[in-house]
Amino acid sequence: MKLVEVKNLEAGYNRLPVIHDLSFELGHGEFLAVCGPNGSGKSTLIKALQRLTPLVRGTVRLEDKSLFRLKPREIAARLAYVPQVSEPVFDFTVGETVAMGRYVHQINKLAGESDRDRWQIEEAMKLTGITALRNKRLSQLSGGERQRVLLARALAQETPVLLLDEPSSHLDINFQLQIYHLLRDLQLEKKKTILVAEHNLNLCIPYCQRLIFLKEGRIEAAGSPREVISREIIRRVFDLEVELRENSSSGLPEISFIHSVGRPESKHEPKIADRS
Amino acid sequence: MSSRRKHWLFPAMLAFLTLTAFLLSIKIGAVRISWEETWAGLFSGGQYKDIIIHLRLPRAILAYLVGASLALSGAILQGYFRNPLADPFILGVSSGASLGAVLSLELGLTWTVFGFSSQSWLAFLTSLLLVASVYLISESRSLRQGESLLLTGIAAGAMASALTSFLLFRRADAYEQAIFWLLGSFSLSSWKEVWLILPYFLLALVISEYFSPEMNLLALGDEVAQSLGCPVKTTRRLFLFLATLLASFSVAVAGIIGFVGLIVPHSVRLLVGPDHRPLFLYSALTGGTMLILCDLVARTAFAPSEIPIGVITAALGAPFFIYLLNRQRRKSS
Repeated sequence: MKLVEVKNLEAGYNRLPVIHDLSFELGHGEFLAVCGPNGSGKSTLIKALQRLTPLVRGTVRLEDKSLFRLKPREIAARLAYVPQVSEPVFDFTVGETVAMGRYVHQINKLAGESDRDRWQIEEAMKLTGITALRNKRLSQLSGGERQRVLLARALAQETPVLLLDEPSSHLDINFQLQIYHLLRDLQLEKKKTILVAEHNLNLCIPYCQRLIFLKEGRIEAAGSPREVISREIIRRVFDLEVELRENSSSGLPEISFIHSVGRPESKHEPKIADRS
Repeated sequence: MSSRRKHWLFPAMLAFLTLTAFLLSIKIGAVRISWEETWAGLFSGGQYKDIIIHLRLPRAILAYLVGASLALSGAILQGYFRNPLADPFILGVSSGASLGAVLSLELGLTWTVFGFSSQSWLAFLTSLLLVASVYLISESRSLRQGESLLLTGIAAGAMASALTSFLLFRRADAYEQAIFWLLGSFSLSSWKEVWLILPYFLLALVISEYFSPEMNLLALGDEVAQSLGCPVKTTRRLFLFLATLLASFSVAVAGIIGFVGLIVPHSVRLLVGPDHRPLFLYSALTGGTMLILCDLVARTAFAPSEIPIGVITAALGAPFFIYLLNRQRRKSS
């Protein structure tokens, strides 16, 4: 049984589909990255899997149940979502925010927090390294800390699948790497299945097992990083001329940018001499 | 201040303030009554029993209930719209109610049903009707629902206000009576109003408390709320219904009293944090206390004549509102 099965998915807003005829599967413990240019439908795909977009058509099955037959609570018990970090309107504390991940399991609200709730909240904060921040308000945190709080909330949800929408945006390179390290730990040690929408290819290549390239809402290429990272595919997807190298420590492909396709090389473009 | 100390300090101060407000509003008034006589009037009789039991006590309780209802309604709508500057009248309850009341004066209606005047009824019904139409119009739009609801509410409110002004312009003699609705007053309070609003207020408070975890999720935005398992649409409908009825009942018994529903939840949030479970309860309790005190000022500051209570709440509320706006601007820049 696949955890997520998508066939001929069409999704978008206001009757205008952003995603067309998209099919893929996600099995237990997989790490899948969805990449593509801005507006290619990465975020829309992640939202459509949870029925958060107004338009979702096609077949989406979560653990063999049709997405369209599931209530929000049942979807939230299967998929946890880490949205992009945004400015909080109401300034909840870190502890309160993480505890909201338990809502899905609190059927009897009069019973209050159970021991399991408390344990999961502690565990989620420990895994993401935010235990010491518990009583801080979100507005007092840096972007990297907020990202970890959102991840902790998703972990407290106790789902087999984690969906992350551009987890590295707004983070400096150190935090970007930390988040991906953490995701890999979760995948290997906690057997989580992970789907990230990511625009930073070099960042996700070493971590994901499979990569899907989206362009204008359709799958342009899919496979392992070694299979799909090629100059030809990147030119097709991003209209970008690149050079590929082998990363000296991982042996995986790495991308250096040259220039946009269809645009003559500018005289102001950095040359090797400039970089010294 | 440590958070533990804060936990008991605010409720303790509030309890003290509420008790003081109640006692003062029962003792002080046009007729001078000593503390002993007040005590006797409350519990054993005496010559001032009628004034205390049938005038001052229901008035204080009604002011408390209306203040609590408006503050709870404001707390709900601020979470609903994810906007700390929302208030109970944002969807046109107030403009709808004044239109209804003025319409009833214009048509010369004088009937009463269940002891309530035609003005009360028309104010209540038109305010509900206005919000219902605002809701239905905004449902059919493609804009984000909250945003669309807000904008439609403002437009519909402006239209109702224009109609009200037109009616008042045609019938200048109705103006004095209309002032009751436009600025609010407890001068006609009796036990009847108390019994009308009390059961609904208690019910609304219990339901809001029960669904406060859902409101916490809604405050994160619809998408995030739903992804965490919250049934967004039904929860939104429920809270909109609760908040609108709270405001409509308040307007029907006391006219339009502004600013309580805006400043109380906002200030309480600064003290207890954004979690809606304590926020709903303490907003209601604080709103009630605040309105008893405002009513006390309204009827004693220029005794024997009474100032409309809306004047007092606005006079206190407007500077606070400007302070809030500045604070928000500073925070966002």
